[in-house]
Amino acid sequence: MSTSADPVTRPRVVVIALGYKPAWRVRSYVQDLVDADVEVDLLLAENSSTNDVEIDPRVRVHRVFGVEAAEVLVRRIERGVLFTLPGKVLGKARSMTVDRAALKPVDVGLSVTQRAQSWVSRGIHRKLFWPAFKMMRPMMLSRKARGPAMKLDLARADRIVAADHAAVPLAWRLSRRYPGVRTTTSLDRKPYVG
Amino acid sequence: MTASERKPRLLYLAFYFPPSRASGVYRARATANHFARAGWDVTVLAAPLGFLYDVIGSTDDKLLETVDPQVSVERPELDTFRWEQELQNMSWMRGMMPNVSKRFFEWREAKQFPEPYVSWARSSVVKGLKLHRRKKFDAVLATGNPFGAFAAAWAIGKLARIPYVIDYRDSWTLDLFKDEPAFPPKHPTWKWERRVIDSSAAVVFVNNALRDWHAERYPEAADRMMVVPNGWDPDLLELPPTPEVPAEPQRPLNFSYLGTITTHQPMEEMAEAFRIAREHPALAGAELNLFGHLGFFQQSHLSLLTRLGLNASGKVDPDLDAGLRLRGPVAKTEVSSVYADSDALVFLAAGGRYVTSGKIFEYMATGRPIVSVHAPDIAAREVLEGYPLWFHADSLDPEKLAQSFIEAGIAARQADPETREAARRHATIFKRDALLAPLEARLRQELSS
Repeated sequence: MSTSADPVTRPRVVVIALGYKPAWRVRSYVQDLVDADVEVDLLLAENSSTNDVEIDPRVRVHRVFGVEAAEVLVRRIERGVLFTLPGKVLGKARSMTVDRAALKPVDVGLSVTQRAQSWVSRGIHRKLFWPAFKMMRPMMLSRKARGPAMKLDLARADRIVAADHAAVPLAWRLSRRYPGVRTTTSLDRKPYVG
Repeated sequence: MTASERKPRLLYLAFYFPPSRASGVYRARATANHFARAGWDVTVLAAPLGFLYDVIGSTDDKLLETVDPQVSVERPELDTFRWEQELQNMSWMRGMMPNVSKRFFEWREAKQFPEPYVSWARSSVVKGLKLHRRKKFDAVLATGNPFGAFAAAWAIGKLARIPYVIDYRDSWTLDLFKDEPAFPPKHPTWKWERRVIDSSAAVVFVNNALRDWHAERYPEAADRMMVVPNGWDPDLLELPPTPEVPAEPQRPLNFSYLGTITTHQPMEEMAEAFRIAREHPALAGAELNLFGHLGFFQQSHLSLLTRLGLNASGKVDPDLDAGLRLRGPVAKTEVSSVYADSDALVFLAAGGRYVTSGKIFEYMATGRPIVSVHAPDIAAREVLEGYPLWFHADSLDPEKLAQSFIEAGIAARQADPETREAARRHATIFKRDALLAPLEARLRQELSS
């Protein structure tokens, strides 16, 4: 079998940015690399928060989730327990009391309860759930994103870049799996740019 | 060897030491060399080479060759956690729980000393005491930054019962760019500063303004405070024996700035002033060459380029060309040729009345016209006063600065040999060895007392 001469191999960098919206420094890094004719794969966390981000069409963008809040079990449970379930219960109760003069005091009480519940739920979400989830999210993502990451033919990459904190655990796991590929948190443009 | 023949032994804590080419390294190099030449047995504790080459990335191997061979250099370990970027080198804890491990690391470090280089200070104490057990030191000298060196000198001084001197090469608790305390009143740094100053044999500053600021805060130590200005190093600067001929009238002038360019410097004003000045016939086609690093770290140059009116690769945008040319770093040993090719020098400096800058002494030694681009009340004035080829606007207004550039350009073409000779004479009082002699005498006095 005859083989044609190998085309000139372009350098290839896989950038992982699992924060919700890639920061400016990440976007500019990716842009500088594609401008320097580097093949870039960019792995992002989800579709919903990154859809409107302007990314050069030459960058191959991959995403772990469509909507993280809907696809991560703990977030679905939290949303259900804190918002959906109490909202439905109180909504149903109010549907039975609203516009009934005799049940006016009950309706007012339910309305106040609804507002209070919403306030408490938001407080729990912001002050308790979110800080704890934020700490655990990178580790959780390192499991969820492993599948999409493995499809990127990482063995052929020159460099894997963890562009934000959330990407570090996944990149760390990949660094163990692909010891020959430089895996770094540095957005170092050398040797590709200038 | 009898006791009387024994050389006094000095332990010198200088994190930035050759091959580092950080701006403060020349003072440390000169101090070690001066003490060695004055008959001391000098051991320097410096930053690990891995940190200098891989993290800072600003090194000059030729500078290492200028260290006196009698000086022995040890490099205690530094925990590079905060600078580590390669995931292959990270532990499971660091890799899988980056936030938790970062917070734990910072908490642990801050508990010991409020500065990122505390791990180096810690290993310096261990190393220093180990060397002391082997062969006794007579004194400790520490230069900051990093100021962990002061804490290490304090600890070694206490444990080994030897006097120590701290050298404020840089400011610690005073923000030089805002002229105000750098830390809030309850910050642990204040406790540390009081502790190291109280027990020190002497405290050294680079100018009178800094000395006075500290003397006011620590009056009980005021009589132990002294000033050792930065100077210039004749062994690193080859000066032509006679004053040069003025620049030919038809040749475009070369202005030069040498040194690291940092965010606080008034670079926009300089660029605009030079653009205006080039419209004058004396400066037609003139160039302002910038020699040195942009920023202290490898990644810090991008934001500075745009402020200088250059594009991301440091090239000139023809539409915005103000005559600035980015020439990159030059080895210290090659600086002389840069001076030789320059018609006038630009003293671009950040900060106000507490800032002297080390570069100005070398500038004066060349006998070239000097254009000042800095705040009018800068401490460097006290050394520039009397220099006959100093051109200053006492303002950062680009129009006024442009006038200084024009006057310096005219002087570069017209200054007579007598004026240039007078300029060089002014610089001779700032030769480094002459300035370091009182410090060496002070330490000898400590030994005899």
